[in-house]
Order: sequence, then C-alpha cells, then structure tokens
Amino acid sequence: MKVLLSNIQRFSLQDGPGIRTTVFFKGCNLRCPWCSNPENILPYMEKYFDDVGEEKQFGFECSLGDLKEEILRDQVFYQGKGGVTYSGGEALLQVENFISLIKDLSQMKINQCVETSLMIPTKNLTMILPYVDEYIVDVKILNSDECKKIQGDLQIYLENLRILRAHKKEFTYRFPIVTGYTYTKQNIDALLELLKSYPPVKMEIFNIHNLAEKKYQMLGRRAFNNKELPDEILRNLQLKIENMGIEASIIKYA
Amino acid sequence: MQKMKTIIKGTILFQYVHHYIWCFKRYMRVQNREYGNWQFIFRYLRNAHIFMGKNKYRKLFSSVTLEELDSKKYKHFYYSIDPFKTIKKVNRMFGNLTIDYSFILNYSLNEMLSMDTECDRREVLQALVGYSKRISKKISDSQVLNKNIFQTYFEQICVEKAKGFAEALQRILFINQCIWQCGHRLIGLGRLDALLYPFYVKDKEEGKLDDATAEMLLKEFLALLHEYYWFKGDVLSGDTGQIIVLGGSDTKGNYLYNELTVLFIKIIGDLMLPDPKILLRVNKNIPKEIIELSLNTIEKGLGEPLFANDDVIVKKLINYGYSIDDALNYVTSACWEPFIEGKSSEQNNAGSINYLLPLQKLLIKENLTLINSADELEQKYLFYLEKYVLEVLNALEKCKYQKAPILSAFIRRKNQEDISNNGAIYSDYGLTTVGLSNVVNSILNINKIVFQEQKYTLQELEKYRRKNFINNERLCLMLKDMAKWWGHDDGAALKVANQIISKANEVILDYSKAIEKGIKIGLSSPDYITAGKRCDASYDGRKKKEPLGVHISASCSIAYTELINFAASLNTERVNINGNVVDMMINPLIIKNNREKFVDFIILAIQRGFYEMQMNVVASTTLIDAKNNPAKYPDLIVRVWGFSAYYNELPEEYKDVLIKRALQNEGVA
Repeated sequence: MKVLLSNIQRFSLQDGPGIRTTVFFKGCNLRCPWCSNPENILPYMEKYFDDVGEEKQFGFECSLGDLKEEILRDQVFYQGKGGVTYSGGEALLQVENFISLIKDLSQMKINQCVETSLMIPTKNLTMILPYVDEYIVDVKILNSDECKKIQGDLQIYLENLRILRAHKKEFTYRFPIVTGYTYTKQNIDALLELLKSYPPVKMEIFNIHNLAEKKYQMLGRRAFNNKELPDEILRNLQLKIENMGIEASIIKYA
Repeated sequence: MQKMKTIIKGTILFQYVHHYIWCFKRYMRVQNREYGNWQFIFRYLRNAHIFMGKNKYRKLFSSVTLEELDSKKYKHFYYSIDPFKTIKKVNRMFGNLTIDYSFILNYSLNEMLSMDTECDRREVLQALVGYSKRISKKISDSQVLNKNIFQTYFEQICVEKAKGFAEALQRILFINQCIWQCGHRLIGLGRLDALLYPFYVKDKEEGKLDDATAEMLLKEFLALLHEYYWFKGDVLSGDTGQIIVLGGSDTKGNYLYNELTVLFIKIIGDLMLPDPKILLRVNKNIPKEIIELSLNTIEKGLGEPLFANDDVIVKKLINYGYSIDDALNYVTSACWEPFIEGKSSEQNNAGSINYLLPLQKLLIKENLTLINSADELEQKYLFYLEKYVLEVLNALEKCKYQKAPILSAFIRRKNQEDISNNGAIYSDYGLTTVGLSNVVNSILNINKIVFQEQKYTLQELEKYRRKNFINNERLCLMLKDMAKWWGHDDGAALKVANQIISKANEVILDYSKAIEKGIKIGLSSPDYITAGKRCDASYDGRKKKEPLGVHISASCSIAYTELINFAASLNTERVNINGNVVDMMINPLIIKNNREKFVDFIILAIQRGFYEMQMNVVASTTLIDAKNNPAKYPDLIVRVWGFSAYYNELPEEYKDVLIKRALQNEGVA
C-alpha cells in the first residue's frame, strides 16, 4: 500500500506535543485561499521548475514500509510525549491507505497525532479513533454559507466534533487569523460559541504568513496576499479565550 | 636549506621583526583599540625585548612591565601581562594545553622548587618566586584598596599552599599570566568547578564566603582573564584557547556538578564576553536545570557552552588507551580535542588531514575511463588516501618543539624530562581533519549522475571541474543542489564516510605502532577556510578556493534530530577521538518559541550519543545586517570553529561562511 505525500518533516516542534515527525499528505478537499501549503492541495504529483531551471515535482508516493522506517528514525527523540503527526493537505482523505500503519505504530506505543479540518467523511474519522492519541482540529469559517466558499461543510465538521467528544478524545483547536475570512466579528463570535459547545484542551492561534509565496509562484498560481494583523489583536483574542478557562497560545513560525 | 632557515630564524633581527609583525597584526584586528597605530609602534619599540640564553626566564620576569594598580580594575585580584616581552622562539612552542593548576593551589613555589631537580624548571620556578615578590612590592607601593590582602596573596604563594577561595583564584591568575608571558599560546583553564570547590566549601563553612561574594569574585576573575584579548588571540581574534571545563561523570555514570558549575554558566551568560569560554561535560543523567541554564547562555548567541558527551567520550578515551581515572578527568586542548588535565602534553593540532586532496590527486593521475562504478572510485580513493595520510604523518615526525620548562613544572610527568622530550604522562599527537563532507558528497554525486543516471561521463565532468566550472554554471549549481548527502542518516553518506574514516584509522594505527607513539584524529578542524584555499573545484559544486565543510554540519536545511543521528552513527572508534563536533546554526526564534522542547531535544540528543555539539544561535538577517553595518553591532558574538569571538573582528570570509550557513539552515540558500 502506498500514500501520496509531499514532505516528511523531522524535528517538527509545532504540530503536537514533544518532538515530532510531521508527514504531509498531498490532496485536500478544501480550497482555503490563504493555504500556506499550496503544493498539498491537489491529489496528484505536480511538476515545477526550480531556481536552476531543473524540472522537479511536488509529491511522491511512499510505501508504508518506507514511511514507517522514516518515522522510526527519530524514535529516540519521541520519548515521553513526541511522536508522529499526520498533516497535509488532508491526511484523513487517504486514511484507508495507511490505517494499517496507524495500527502498527499504535502497537509500538508511538504517539500519533492528526491535524485535520474534520470536514471529511465521518467513517474516515471513526476508523482512527481507537489508535490516534492527539487531534489538532482546524477552525476555519463557522458559518454554513460562508464555509461553502472554501468547499467546506460545517454540518459534517460539527458532527465529527461531536463524535470526537463522544469518544472522550481531547483535541486542540488551531485557528488561522485571516482578515475578511476567519477574522470577522461574526466568525469570532461563532468561534467563542464553538469553544463553549465543544471546548478544546488548548487553542492555538496564528497569523497567516506569506512564506508560501515562492511555492505559489513555482506552481504558477497566484499567491494570497494576507495582511498580517498586529500582535496586539492576537493577544486580545488569546486573552478572551483564556478568560473562558481555555489555555490559548500564539504560534509563531520561524 | 632547513639549516639555513634555522640560522635565520635564530638571528636577533628576525626574532624582533617577527615578534613585531605578530603583535601588530593581532592588535590591528580588534575593535576598540586602546591606542593609535603610531602609539602602538612607539610602545613596541620602547618596551619590546626578546630574552634568550642562560637565565632568560629570570631576566624576563624581572623586567616585564607591571600594570599600574587601578582600584577600579583590580578590586580583589591582580593580573598583568607585558605583551611586548617574550622568550626567543626557534622551534614550535608547546601550547594548546591545560596544566594542572592543583600544583599551585596545594603547594607553595618553594615546595615545588624543593621537589624539582631539573635545572631549567628550577630556573623558571625561581623566576616566578622573584616575580611574585616584585608584584608584592608593586602592590605595597601602590594606593590600591585592600592592598594588604593583595600583597598577602603574592607573599604566601612562595611559602604556603592556598588557603581560601579568593587566594586560589589569584594563584590561577598568576600562573596563567606567567605561562602567557613565556610565549605559550592557547592556554586552557581546566575543570575549575571541581578544582575550586574544596576552597569554596571551606570558606563557606568558615563563614568567610557567601554566594554573592563568590559570584562577584568569579566575575572579576573571568573579566581579568578576558584582558589582553588582542594579545591572546591566535589565528583569529577570540581564538585564545581559554576553555573552562565544567561538569563531569563518575565511574557509575552519575553526573557530577556543584554550585560553581551553575555559577560559571550563569556568569558567562551575564558577562557577555567572548572569552574565556566554557565547555560543559554532559551525560544522560544531567539534571534538566543545568541544560536549561546552559540554553539561556547559548540563546544569547555566545555559542557556548559547547557540550561534550561523557557517555560517548569517556568510553572512547578508555578504548584508545587512557586509564579509566584519567579518561574521567578529561578536558580539551583549546577547542574540542579531549586529553587529560595536567597529564597530557599532547599537541592535538599538530597537523591536518585534508580529505579532499587525495580525491583531487586521483582525478588528475588516474585514467578515468577505467573507473566504471562508485565502488571502484571509492577503492581508488582509499588507495590515494593511504599514501596521503602517510605523507602527513611523516611530515609530523619532523616537527621540533622548543623546551617548555614552565609548562613542564605544572604537568604531571612520568620522569624528570621536559615535556618536549616526552616527559608528560601522555605525549601523543593529534591531527584534525577537514573536507570529509566534500569528498562524501562528491563521490555520491558522481555515483548518481555518472554511474546511475549516466548524464555525463567522468571524463566530461573532470574537464569541467578542472576549468572551475567556468561557462558551466548550470552544472555547478546542479552539483551543489545535489550535494546534500552528508548529514542525512539514510545510509548512503554514512557508508562512504565510515569506509573513509576506517581507512584513515587503519593507516594511522599501523603508523602509530611503528613509531610507538599514539596518534589521534578527529572530524573537526579550524582549517575549513585555509584548507579550502588550497583545493581546486570539487564535485559537490564547490568552486576552487571556496571553503570546505564545517565540522559535522549539513550544507542544507536539515532536521537537527537527523544530523544528531548521522553524527552518532559516524565511526568514531579507535583513534577517531580528537574532537567530533556537531555544529548547528539555529535561528533564535526556534528556541524562543519552543524553549521547553529544545531543552528536551538537547537531553535526548545526549542519549542518542553525539560526541560534541555546539550551537550558533543567530539569524541570517542579523549576520547580513552586521556585515553591512558593523557599527550597529559592536557586541555581536558568534561561534567560529571552536571559540566565540566578536563578529566585527572576523575576516570577511569567515563572516560569509556564517551567513551562508545561516541561510542554508533557514532553507533560504
């Protein structure tokens, strides 16, 4: 069995607890204009030309054996709380292809985390529930109609959140601050409501950075030009969330 | 010819001209100089003297100019070096080592004199007695505050062992200044936390010392060792070899440290001076708070402490041939080369192996059409490597060292001989090596594009290489882009690297047996720029004269965990123990945003088994801006090969290497 990946990033410090290896799956069902991993959107390999003019490609197929080997290379650094994080794109779209690896690593007591938009078929989520330890759930647009603009389905999202909660799974929310999309009065109000209905163990908020500009160029697509909001605004939001008794942090990408 | 050179070197004119150029070059490269160029020349002409012949040490110490006692500078200790007076140098001078300071703490100079019968050492010890009396008189004649205490220290040193913490510090300063005064370079300070601890405890128990006073005394002690910074710098400003080794292990693997270990790390971070430097011995049982404290200092950009992993190093030193007790008492000579405190006169920088040179020779001498696989290329390379290493070793045997009675007096010896005549308990050689990453990347690049993809023949490639890739920029960039093998732990680079290291080990072991003298090598070297200048272009996309790889580091953005795995898997058995440093560039934001995880990483990296590790915490943007606007960054300190230095005082080419490596680390280049 093989999976389509775009990258395997070791020494990953911001995708779950401890030191982790993050596996980026290629292919996503959403179309967020601010996406900072545009190479992970389409579910097939994409050609591009590098600085030297050499033809290269985003994406590679990886056997589960090779993936497991790569994940275990840093096993010594996972001690305690670290492990592997499945990210993307949307990792859970390919879950059928790598559920055997998830089971395998679970038996080996490797901590597993998935970062997901949760806007995926519920069966894909239920499949992993017995084996995956950590969940990072993206919070995007919390209005049904607006959410459709990024091809998302809020009903599925809320249903999957309910399932996570029903299974007593703890989860962390990750919220990108994007002016006009996620950072509107309406959406922030909805976010605060969501925190009441489905409280996470932790909330991470971050400014959308324009680091992916080069990748957009290489892919021949137009980059989303986000105006980063001042730290002050992020801190205010952090404070609001903390006042609800929820741990909140601002993530900064180095 | 050699005889002629020796005669010329021995002339008074040569000695003075050489000493002047030496001093002037060192003085000119520091920022914030005390006096102008003409004033410097005038001072030199007025004060310079080179002592030779009989009683040279007595003459030296009776005529060196003593610093005026200024109460602001000398509150508790006195430290004075006259950079313009020295001893005649004809052969190589011993340096790069750490004496046993416990001699001067546990014995008086008179006791040491009574125990030593060798005439040169007795002359030096007598000269030191006279020198301490001179200083005592100088203090007595001065108006400095607390002059009675000062004076007592210099009177007692002749007749009694040290009694207290402050007196012990003053004695270390005194012997240290005397060694520098005799012209020896790169003088280590040893395991000061362990050495000073009994004095610290005794004074505290007797109510003579509290923590705040201890901190104040250590601050002054370190600030005084920082004095004469321009004079102490060796190849580059900041390259002083003033390493303080902290922490350690016992036979059961317990971690040893004390309050002074913590104080030294903290004070080094507070002082923000590039010199002296600290090296922290670590093992898997080190308390987390010591790593946290060290990270605070490292994070400030000081590049120190360098971590030396006892779990790996001690075992390897024992395997090499040191006794267990001695291996547990290792320090390093100057930067990172382990040897035994106070028992070794080993010159661990006695020579350098440039792994790239035999590859270049092979490419020029061999008929490349007959090489049909990477295996064949590797085998031929190993043949050329053997010949080359033997040449280096033969040259090493011809080196002559000048007698070093002052060092010999403070190093434990197996007999009465001077250390220049193998008198020390350990007197092996150490070599550094450079260019291994360039060879490994070159061989694997050739394997890929010549033997696997067959894009080029080896002859074609060689044609372009010899022309320094002129008009073939695209090929050069392609090679550079491909040359990312070294540092990855997936096997390919490790296989080639370990074959090469094993071969070098084998040749050195055989030679070592034949001459009945131990020889060690290591994978770290100060020569990445100088050796690179002597190399033509290479197949890793490196052009002629460009720098070679730095220690164990990657030439691309690579996970630190992967680099540690790679380094821990390199063959550092047998003689490959002369310093194997993983050198990491780190963007400050990574630590700032992930402090706790970074502490965990260091602890887990110790468990994974790196040999040594140092970190340069600085962003490429800072380095670029500081290169363009030096006046904005007078205090910016960076780690160079194994020492910390002011960035502004580095030659441009060293700044460029740091910038390039920072950009590579950030994934920008």
